[in-house]
Amino acid sequence: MATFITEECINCGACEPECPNTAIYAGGVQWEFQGATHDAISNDFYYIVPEKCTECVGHFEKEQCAAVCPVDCCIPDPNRPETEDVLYARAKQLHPDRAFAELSAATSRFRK
Amino acid sequence: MDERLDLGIREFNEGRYFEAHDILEDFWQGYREPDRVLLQALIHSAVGFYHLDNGNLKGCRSQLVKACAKMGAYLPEYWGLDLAPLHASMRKQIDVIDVHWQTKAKSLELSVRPRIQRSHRIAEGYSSIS
Repeated sequence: MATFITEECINCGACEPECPNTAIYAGGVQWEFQGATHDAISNDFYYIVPEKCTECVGHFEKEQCAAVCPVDCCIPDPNRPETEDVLYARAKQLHPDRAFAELSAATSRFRK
Repeated sequence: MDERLDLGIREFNEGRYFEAHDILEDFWQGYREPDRVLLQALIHSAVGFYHLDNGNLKGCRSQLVKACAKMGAYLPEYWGLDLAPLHASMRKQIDVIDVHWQTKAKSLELSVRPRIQRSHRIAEGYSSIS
């Protein structure tokens, strides 16, 4: 499941630079994907674009936005369940020029 | 203890909750001891009252619930701070919001604005928070 940001967000912006997929945007800011721009998902607080979120699979052992969020408002979206395979494929799609190593506990929260 | 704890609490006690959260967050990010949980509880509390000031009751309630849960292990006092009154005030605020939702009252009595006070019992040698 993609990670999403709840209404508890205080707009501190700590999460945004941590995302390896540039999936996090400030409220009201249009998001970009494959050369196209899209309307903001939230106008009030930071948001995560599900199409760009891999829950940090392929990159880190856990979601980096959640790791740095001081108010614990970056949580898994229960309405968008996704498998590790789906998330890993998305990571490869988002970073076609990068050679991904085989997933491990260091690069997937599913391997803990 | 880091001066940012004092500064953050001063901002909190002045009702500048965003600033309080900001200072405490800066401290929390680099503090890796097990009791950083209490720092995060104070951040939750500041953010909760920030949301309350801005009419975000759902966000407020969620943050205060988290603050109470994480602060529980450090009651009644820790780091020279008298935490029990703050904890009680947050519980009261949660109840106020719940009653507001249950009764669908148009107005909301939101008088709870706690101050974080120095513990009298162990304040010696740590008196920088006014």
